[in-house]
Amino acid sequence: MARYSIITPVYDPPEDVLRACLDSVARQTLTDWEHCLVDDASTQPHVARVLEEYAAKDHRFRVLRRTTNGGIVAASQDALELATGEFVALLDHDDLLTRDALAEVDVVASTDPTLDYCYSDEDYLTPEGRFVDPFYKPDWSPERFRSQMYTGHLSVARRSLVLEVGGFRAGYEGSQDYDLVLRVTERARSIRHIPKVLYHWRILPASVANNAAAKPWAYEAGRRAVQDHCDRTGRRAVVTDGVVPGVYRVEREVPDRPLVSVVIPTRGSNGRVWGVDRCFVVEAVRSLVERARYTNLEIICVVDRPTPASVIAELERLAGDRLVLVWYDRPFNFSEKVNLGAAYASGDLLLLLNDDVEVESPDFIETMLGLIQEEDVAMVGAKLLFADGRLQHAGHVYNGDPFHAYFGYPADHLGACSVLACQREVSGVTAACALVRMSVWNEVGGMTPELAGNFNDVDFSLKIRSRGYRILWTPYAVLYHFESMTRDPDVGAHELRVMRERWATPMGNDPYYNPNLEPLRDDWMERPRR
Amino acid sequence: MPNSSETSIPNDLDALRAEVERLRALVGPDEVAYQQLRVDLWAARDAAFGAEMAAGELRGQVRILEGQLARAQRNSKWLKARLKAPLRRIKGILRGA
Repeated sequence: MARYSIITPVYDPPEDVLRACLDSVARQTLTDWEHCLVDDASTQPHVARVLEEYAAKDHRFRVLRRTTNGGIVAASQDALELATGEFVALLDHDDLLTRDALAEVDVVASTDPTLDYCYSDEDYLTPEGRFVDPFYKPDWSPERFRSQMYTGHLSVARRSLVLEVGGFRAGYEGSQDYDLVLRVTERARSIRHIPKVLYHWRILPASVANNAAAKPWAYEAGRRAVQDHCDRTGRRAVVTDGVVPGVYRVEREVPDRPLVSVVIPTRGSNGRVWGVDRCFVVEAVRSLVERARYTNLEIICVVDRPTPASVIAELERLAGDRLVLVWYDRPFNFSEKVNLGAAYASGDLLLLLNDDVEVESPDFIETMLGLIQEEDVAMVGAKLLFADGRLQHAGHVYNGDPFHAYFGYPADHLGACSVLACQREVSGVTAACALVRMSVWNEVGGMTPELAGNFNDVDFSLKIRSRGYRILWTPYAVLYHFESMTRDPDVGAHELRVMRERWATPMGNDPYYNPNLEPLRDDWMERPRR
Repeated sequence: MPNSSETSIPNDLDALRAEVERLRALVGPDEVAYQQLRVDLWAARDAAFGAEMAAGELRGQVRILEGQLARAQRNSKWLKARLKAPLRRIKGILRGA
């Protein structure tokens, strides 16, 4: 029995393309493989000829010819049934594996006996023979996977598990891989990512790789696959199309409306935004009360002593009996102020909010609540924009030092492989707007007062993740953040030292970034290939 | 004989009328002008907001270009390093010969 079965449905590929595909398998440095090829009644005579030629040369090429054309799902299922290996790897008839593809997978499979699914990075092969646009993927990111079939190629799964979940299913043509991997990952014990390009996806005129509009039905099948996944796994959600083809939005229901305790530290300061003077905290609370739709709120304002009485009066007028005022009379310490506010919270959920924000999406609290219902999710962050519409926050990236992803880019920028269009796991989020479970807040001891002005949210995020919880970011909860208009943004050397001493390792190893990307950058720029 | 409150009513009305006249003089000849001023104020606010957003869009485009420039510079540096090594070896061989 071979250890790896490569399964490939074949239907009328050009001869040179098919040969290149088969040669890429034949050249594998790891030899313990079989290639299960199912000819789906191709009409081109060269297909049978080439397949027979390779099968005659090497017994590891195993060929089955269907008498009728059954489509991609039927042919893939036939190939799966032909397979005998411990793992199955999916390869399209026009694509290429790198020479070390199976060897790299085997390194992971040999060291992790519970491995059930792994995937690698990939790139595109142009008609001119150039390898372009590599997709450097994050480590396993289930929420992103519900938003996008990001694992793609090369995908390798334990054969027994693939059979257990029923193999390829009819009705999902074009997204049959997505549907299969969703079902496999629901039950997988261990899922690993190999951060190396092991697969070259050939761009052909009619392929999805070349044109998102080439197979609209494939994206509809993908949406149904995610909806099925949500239904199977007990997620009460509606899956709709995202902002670009191949990206989906999983909108969860919020069946009960829990009390959310909003903690806003403030000193009642003023500034000028969009040409108009404003008191920041008043406008933040006004937008929370008048624009946000969620009403089961308790608004805890932690106010410095010098805050003007008129500001307090306006807050009382706006928030009424939902307002809790907590006085703070020590030198500025953001962490301490938020901790103090959290101590007054009576809800099970804490919404940390800076005073210099303004709500843009009326349903931002519902969106964040939907995500925090996932049992191992401890914190959810939002998309924050500067007053001029640029991105201020789209999740943290810990890439040598902490960064905001795509800081300063246009608000509608999609990012590499539409990363900014997906709800996804992140290493951390800003405390300028973050929904946190109160139980986890207490478990990690809130924010670190030693970090008075900077990095307290980075530290808090890392404390949460070190306990095994996930942190999510959503592009569907949008607020304006007039950042640093209310305080001095200088970073103290002491704070930097504390962070480096505490978190040196996670600061340079972000699982939701990729080691093939340039360090000390926030924009997914690739390192030069070796 | 009229009481004091009855005599004060005309006086208050006079004061209020005078105040209305004063306010009208401040905002314009009539309420329409006042409404127009409000519209103008909101239009000015929207214009300021729009200008700020347009500037932000441009700054965002600059960020994208900066990223692309950094990518090009890094690739060029990498390519130079890759070219220099064999050139040095060839020079060494030629010197030896």
